[in-house]
Amino acid sequence: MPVNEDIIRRNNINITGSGQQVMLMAHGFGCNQLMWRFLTPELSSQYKIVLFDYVGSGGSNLAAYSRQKYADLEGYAQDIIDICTRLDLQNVVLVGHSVSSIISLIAAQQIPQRIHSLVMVCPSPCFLNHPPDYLGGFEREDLTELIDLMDKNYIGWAQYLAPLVAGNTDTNFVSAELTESFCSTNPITAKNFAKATFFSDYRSLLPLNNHPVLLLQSQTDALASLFIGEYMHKHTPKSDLQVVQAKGHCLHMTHPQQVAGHIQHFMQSLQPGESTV
Amino acid sequence: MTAEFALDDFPTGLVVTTLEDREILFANQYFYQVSQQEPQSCARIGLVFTAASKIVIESFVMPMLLHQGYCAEIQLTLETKAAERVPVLVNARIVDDGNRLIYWVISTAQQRDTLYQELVNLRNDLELRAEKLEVLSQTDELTGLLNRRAFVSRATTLIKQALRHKLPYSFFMIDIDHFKHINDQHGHDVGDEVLHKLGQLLANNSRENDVLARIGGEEFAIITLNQSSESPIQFAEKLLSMIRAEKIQGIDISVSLGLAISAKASFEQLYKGADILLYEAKHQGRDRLVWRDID
Repeated sequence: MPVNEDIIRRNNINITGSGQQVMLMAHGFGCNQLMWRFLTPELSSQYKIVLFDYVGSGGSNLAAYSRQKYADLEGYAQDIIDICTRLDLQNVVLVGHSVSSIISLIAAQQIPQRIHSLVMVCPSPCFLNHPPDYLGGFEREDLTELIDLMDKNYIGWAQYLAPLVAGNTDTNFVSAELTESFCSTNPITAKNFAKATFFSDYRSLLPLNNHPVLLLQSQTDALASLFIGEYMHKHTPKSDLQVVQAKGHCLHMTHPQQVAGHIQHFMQSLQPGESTV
Repeated sequence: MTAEFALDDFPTGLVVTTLEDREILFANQYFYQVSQQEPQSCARIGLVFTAASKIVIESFVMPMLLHQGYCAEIQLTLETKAAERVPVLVNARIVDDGNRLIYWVISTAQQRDTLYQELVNLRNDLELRAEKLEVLSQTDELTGLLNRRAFVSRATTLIKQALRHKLPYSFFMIDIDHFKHINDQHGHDVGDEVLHKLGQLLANNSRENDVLARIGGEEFAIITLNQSSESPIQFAEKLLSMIRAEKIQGIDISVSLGLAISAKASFEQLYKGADILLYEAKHQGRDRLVWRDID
């Protein structure tokens, strides 16, 4: 990373709220930081909330995108690490939705001294089935079809094809389309994110956790079944599993009050002192 | 709605579901016809879609609906009871009458899908061609090694990496001795064969992280991070004796080698340094190594 690269602009960082403690919220695959807008009002009087977009999503700086770096979740975790370092955040509560739960876990293990605890909303460490012991919910073919569907939902083909016709395989031409839209199926950034998310297996990271973790699970979730929630709880030390009385994969959007309630309860349950590693 | 204009007659699927678990509250005839489902066996709309479509619904459709109240023209795949796959186009919006419901319009989209598939195929083909062009633009035709342009670019990246990790790095400049003489005496075709074989020899003996290229007429270069157990001087001596032992086209060949080692030099400084050292090796009688830490 070039030294003078401005992380604040690169990751489109926005800070709201007025509390002492910092809550860093990481959006999941598909959308951007706007997905937190229902939850933040519930917590902003108690926490300083840091929102951002991963490079390649939302209003991030696409010039900083690297196909190679963001082909693995470690690349996304580096964004979180960079943000915590750049803003010199301490005692951070990392809140991640879906795949960002695992991205947060990777980051927390690299900068443990800066992290207070983790809140995982509808997490899954692996979306693939590995029978008989683990059922992530999907087969490899399903995920290949997902990539195909994303191609077919991409608006902006002309912009994408033109440089290819000229023989340019550089990634700097990622279209401006994704900066404008809430969700993106961009053939470079979003597909790379989809592959990193859905083809990965980070189950082995769970036992290495040493921060307090709140697992928020939905009663019915097409992407993260109850089995996965229980698996996460069983294999993640210091974790607390709460099944929210709601359905769907976007609990923070559909049930922000319940989610905020669980987070507050979790935070209260942590004695001061228990937080630092 | 009046009896004269029945929703069942619309040539598109019309469905109303709950917001949370998308339980079907109403669906018209066309929806059941296309999905080959019976109302009693299809309680939730999610049941008619493929697994990949469910990911698209959870990652794109639902967040969009919740964020902006609607989503338009999302292509999904419906899986019929007979396991046939039907591409469909989905529009949906949230209607809030005190109880938030989702109104869905689901149209079949076989032709659009074919069109998009053609576009995807074209894209794949173009990507492949662009990659081939890129490889061609980086390759030295005679030896198959990197050409000078590609070498400069890779070397610059490697130096940045070395500086970041505070590792020293080495630049080997290798020049065939009396190459003009080989060309004059044996002909250019033999000269070309010597270049080709020497290129292969260097490629076979270079290590995983070495960047090797033909950078000029009879000139080869290697840039590498000094992180293996073998020192760059040992490696250079090994190359020299290995080439000395080879006969190419029945001709004994040797090379002169300038080796510049640094932990801070730019590509230009390193290149210039190695060039001077190569000149010294030639001046001292050829078939030898001259090296220096240029810092």
